[in-house]
Amino acid sequence: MKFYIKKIITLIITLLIVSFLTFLAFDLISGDPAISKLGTQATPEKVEALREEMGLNDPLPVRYARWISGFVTGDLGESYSYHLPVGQMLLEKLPVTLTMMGMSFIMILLLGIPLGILCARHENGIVDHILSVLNQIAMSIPPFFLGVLLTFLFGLVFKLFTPGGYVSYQDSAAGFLGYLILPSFAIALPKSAMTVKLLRSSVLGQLRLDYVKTARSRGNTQNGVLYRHVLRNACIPVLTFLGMALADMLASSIIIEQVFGIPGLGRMLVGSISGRDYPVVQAIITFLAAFVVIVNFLVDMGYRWLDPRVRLGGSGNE
Amino acid sequence: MKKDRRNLNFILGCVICAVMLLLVILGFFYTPYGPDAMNGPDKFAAPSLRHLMGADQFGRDIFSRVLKGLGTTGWISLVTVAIGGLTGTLVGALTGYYGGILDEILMRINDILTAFPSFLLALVFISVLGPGKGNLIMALSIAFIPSFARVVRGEFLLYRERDYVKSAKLWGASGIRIMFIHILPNALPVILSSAAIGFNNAVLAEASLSYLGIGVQPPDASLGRMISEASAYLFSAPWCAVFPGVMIILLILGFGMISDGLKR
Repeated sequence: MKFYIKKIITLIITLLIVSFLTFLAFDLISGDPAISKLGTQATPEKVEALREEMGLNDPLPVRYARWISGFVTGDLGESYSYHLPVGQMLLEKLPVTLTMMGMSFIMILLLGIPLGILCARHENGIVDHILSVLNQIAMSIPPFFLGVLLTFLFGLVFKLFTPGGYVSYQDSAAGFLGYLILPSFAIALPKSAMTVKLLRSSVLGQLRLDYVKTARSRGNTQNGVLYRHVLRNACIPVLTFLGMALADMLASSIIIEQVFGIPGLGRMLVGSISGRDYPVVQAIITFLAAFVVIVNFLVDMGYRWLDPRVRLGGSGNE
Repeated sequence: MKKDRRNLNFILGCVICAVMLLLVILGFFYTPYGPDAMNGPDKFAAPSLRHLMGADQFGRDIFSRVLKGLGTTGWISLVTVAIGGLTGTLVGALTGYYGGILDEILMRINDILTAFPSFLLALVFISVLGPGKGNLIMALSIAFIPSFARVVRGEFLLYRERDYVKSAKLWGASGIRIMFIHILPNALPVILSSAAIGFNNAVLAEASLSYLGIGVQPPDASLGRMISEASAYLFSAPWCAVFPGVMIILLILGFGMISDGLKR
């Protein structure tokens, strides 16, 4: 219990440090919000009055405290270019990106785990060799290029979907999910390949351990041992990898949204970077950072929960 | 059997990378056409002997542009891995060898940073620094420091308790000498393997950021940017996107196989 409290405190401190660093960075570069609001022709008195009103003359820690409490309560300021509250904009885009990530996560599980087991069962067989070559190639395809290829194949050659014909989830849930299949697949394929590779070597490693021989000698079938004992142990490193892969998937989804014209978080981020819309960029970057830190924390916790050796051994550090 | 396959991977990876390197060198001295030379009649020309990889919407030769783009991507990746790798190795060596409070602080920061994919870190730096090639190089170099520091630190922690280090200490060798003459060569395989992985991440991050339009800017040819420009003409001229993409895949494949082979 003491351990968990310590971990949670570390998590909160990490989140504060990360958010402070992003705040500081954007505070240094974004110039004077008062001028960008009034325009460069405003008189110095007017600018000074607005600065005072917006609280820009307060010391840095005070401004950070105000910003972070705003962030937690959902008040993220106003976009320079859209003049809409950033919080509202984020809330609109977030479900799109999260749905896509969820779909690709399911695809990784559906593709990666059965194929990984298949490879391990037929170690050095033809299936294993063919899959390992395909794997090596799949791991090397950048998700955005895979997206372009999929658009070409399914959109233009087979005409199974309309490129750029995004359907909002507010209009039709089925159309929305249907449009997200290919983008999710583009994110999922390279990660599935890594899952196959990792699960294969993990299962093979477990099969060489003594407990497998013991279980076999007690009359269990090879498959029985594989599915009842080996798989559970072999999945631990895979699950850790999948947790870590979430951050990568978030990164890929930013690009994939651009490829398929999906109005999610990533598209908003890229548009705002080019348009120097700092409040939006700052909010999204802070959100992404918090997401990565929290996912990492959960992976760490999940790992402890799954693997009793780590939980009981107490060797927490290295 | 397993060992053979690993060696095969390594050799194949080296062959692919050598071919890529030759193409980069070729592109440095000679391209069939000027990479920016527009040629109206050849607009969207299909791949042929005249244009090995076809031509784009301005009639520019894709092969020439691919050669130049490969050079840009390779150069950026090389520079960023070199800067990030050297700095990271230095940080990892110092913290791993001496330990102490500085080690504790730096590794805490490192733990946070390694959790971020390098593309995401570079994206954060670019969003702060602004788009462009120089900023891209700076962003990626910084983004690569933590992973190198972590790996090298682990190696130094392992080796600093070894007998040969102790005996060197008894001989009166200085800390710097022990770190760089005695320990570093032992850590080299791990560093090289990380460098190959880092190179892959650099290629991927550069291509992705340029695809998004916030990496390498127009006068320079870039594989990522070529794919993004070609997306609009995907149906009429798929070769404009396919060849740059295949080059990126080959580059990543080659280095991925090398790093696989280097792993102990």
